[in-house]
Amino acid sequence: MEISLGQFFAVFGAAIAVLMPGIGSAIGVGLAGESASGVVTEDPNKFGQTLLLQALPGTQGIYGLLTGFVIMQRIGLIGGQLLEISTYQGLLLFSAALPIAFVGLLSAIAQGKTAAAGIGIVAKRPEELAKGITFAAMVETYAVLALLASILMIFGIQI
Amino acid sequence: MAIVEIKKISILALQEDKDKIMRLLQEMGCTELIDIKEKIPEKEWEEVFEGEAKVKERDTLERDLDELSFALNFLSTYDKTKKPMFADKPVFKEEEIASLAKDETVWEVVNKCRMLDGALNEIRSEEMKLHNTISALEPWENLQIPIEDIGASKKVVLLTGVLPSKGFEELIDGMKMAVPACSVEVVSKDRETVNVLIVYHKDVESSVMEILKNNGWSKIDLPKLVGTPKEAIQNAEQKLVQLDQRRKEVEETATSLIEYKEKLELVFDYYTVLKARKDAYMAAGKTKQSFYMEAWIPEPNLDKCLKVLNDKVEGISITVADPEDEEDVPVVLKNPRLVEPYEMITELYSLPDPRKDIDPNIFMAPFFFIFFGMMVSDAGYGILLALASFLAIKKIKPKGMAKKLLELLLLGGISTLIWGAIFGGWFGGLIPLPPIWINPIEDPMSLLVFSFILGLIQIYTGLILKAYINIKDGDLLSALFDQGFWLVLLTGCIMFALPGTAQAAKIVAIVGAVGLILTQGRTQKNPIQKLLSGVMSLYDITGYLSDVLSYSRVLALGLATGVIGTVINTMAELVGVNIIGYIAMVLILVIGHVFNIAINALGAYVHSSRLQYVEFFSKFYEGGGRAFNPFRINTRYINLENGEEI
Repeated sequence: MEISLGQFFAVFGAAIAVLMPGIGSAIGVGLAGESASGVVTEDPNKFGQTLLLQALPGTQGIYGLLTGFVIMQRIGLIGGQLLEISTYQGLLLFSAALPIAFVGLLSAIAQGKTAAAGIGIVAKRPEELAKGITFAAMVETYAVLALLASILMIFGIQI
Repeated sequence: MAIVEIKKISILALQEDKDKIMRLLQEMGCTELIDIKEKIPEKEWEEVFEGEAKVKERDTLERDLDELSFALNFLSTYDKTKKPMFADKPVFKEEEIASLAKDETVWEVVNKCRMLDGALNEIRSEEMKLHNTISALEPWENLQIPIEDIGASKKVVLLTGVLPSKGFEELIDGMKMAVPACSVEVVSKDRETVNVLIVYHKDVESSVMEILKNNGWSKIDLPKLVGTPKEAIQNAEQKLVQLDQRRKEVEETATSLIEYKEKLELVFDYYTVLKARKDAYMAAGKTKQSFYMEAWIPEPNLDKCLKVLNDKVEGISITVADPEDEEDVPVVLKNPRLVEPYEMITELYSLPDPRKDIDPNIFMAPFFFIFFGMMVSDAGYGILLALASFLAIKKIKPKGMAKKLLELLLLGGISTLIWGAIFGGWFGGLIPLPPIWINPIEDPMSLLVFSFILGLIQIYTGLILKAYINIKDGDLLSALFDQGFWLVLLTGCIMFALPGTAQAAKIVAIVGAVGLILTQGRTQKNPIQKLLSGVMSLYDITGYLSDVLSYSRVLALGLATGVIGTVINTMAELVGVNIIGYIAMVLILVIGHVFNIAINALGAYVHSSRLQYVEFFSKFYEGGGRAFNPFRINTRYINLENGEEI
């Protein structure tokens, strides 16, 4: 089978949609995990609370996977035959992956830092957990918006 | 409903009734004592408050509690008996425990625990030392000379140390040539270093030293022991075995003490109750014959509490008053049963300030309910979530925050079921049922608009609530100017989006905008500044815009659940080709969907909360209230049977 340039761009888009937010989430969750370990050393009972905060920067990776998957599904890479895709269609799909790719990468790192700081709140005042979560959730807003934009674009592209 | 009215009671009674009154109050558990110390100038303290003796009594109790909790902790590490996780606590009467608490064996056990703990620490540090010795000696195991012989004698010096293995051979050869009265014996080697014994005559010391120092020599002092290193290691190992034996003995003794654990728990709880009572003493003032105290009490409990006190204590005088404005009144919330779980969301933000706020829960709960369901948006997940939380509530019988959280998840599950059915999501499409209303993946734009509409409704609710608070406080102008005009302007903006009302929209929007321009600068004195502030206030429209757009997360998270569900199903389908494949398929489905539920329930909780905190509460809610902290019997291991708790 001949592979077209359009198909290449589409798959490339799916790849970066998974790749970049995945890296971001790994860094973010790692940052938060380091702080969490410090807190748990002092007080092992705070494992649950800190784990909750550590999980927050992980969502970008999931959003990225999701976007990548939707692209793969649209071009028939999963559960079917790879469709014919023109170069322009491929570029469109590639562009649609950009919001979640970049915003996912950077917001996951930023959210990881915020979550790590939130874990600092839990260390001193465990009753204020919700405030730490809210601060981290403020960062996530932009990942959610990027996801929304990416998904709407992908659904909107005619194939 | 909403914030419960709090009254202040002042009690004046005879000193001899103090114990009785404190105990009654503690048993009823419906009052929060006010520390009146703060109201009395420092000089008069000593006359009015409990003297040294009482303070000491309290401190002794505190110390005893520390000891008990140490002993309980210590014993619990050896308590291997499996307890049923949610057993009911045994019930005791206070008088029963009081006599049990005098039992000397309790303190004997506590002292023994201290001793055993000390012994264990000693064993541990000794073991550490022995391990260090062994690891220091291990490289020298092949050395056949007793350790005590190493060092300088009259004529000969024996030295142990390390040389780098790089260039070692050359160094030795060189040394043999330069200093014949010296011998180097290799004891052991590893990758980078060589452990050597060097023997030389004192006369050549300086030349030997010079060569060694130029070649990365470092001297090693072996631990000061007797015998060859091998013997010393064997010795240490033997000692370790002995220590292990001793530890076993100590642990056996500790295990034999476990039978007293229940007794200790009993006394611990009893002392906790007593200490709370002593703390309460500190809050009250006294004269020779009488004493005086103040307490907060929720209005619904007032009558019963007064009745109990008046009936049981003669000559008690109680006055009831409304709290004064500047006083720090605690907050008690009372909401319908269905709204109660949502109090948790507010509690985690901040309790309402009774002077400024209204209880937001009843207004917030419906929105939280709807948003949570829309964000998880899969009927199958909803059923599982509701079922799991229902079972957890039945099994664990949680209290306080945990109970509210589980109930919140139960309600969230029900909402998820409803929205899942509306969107046609059943385990990510595993069960193909048509949507009742709309499929978010096929028509995301309609749902986006729907999310915005819900957001607008919530923002309007927030503004109207703020207007209501202003009106309640008698600030009609603020209600009209700050909230009224914004409502008009926002309505105008919305009308632009509707077909056929564009003309009317212009007028409504302009009325609102002009109203804002004219009124928002009303605190300024200078007329130019008045106008400027008015115009600047219009800039807040961007705030409202971003608030509304923020509600797009409702759609986004809903889509995410659905798509991840589909991903899981597709992956499962891909592997389901033969028998092994079918097993893998079932595994993927179960693990995948459970993971999806967990991650999305967390996301839905976090983002629904955020919408309340940032978009909704910011419109009308200040918070900063303090939770009601009643003076009551607070036990960990047993239940104290007492008079009547209100």
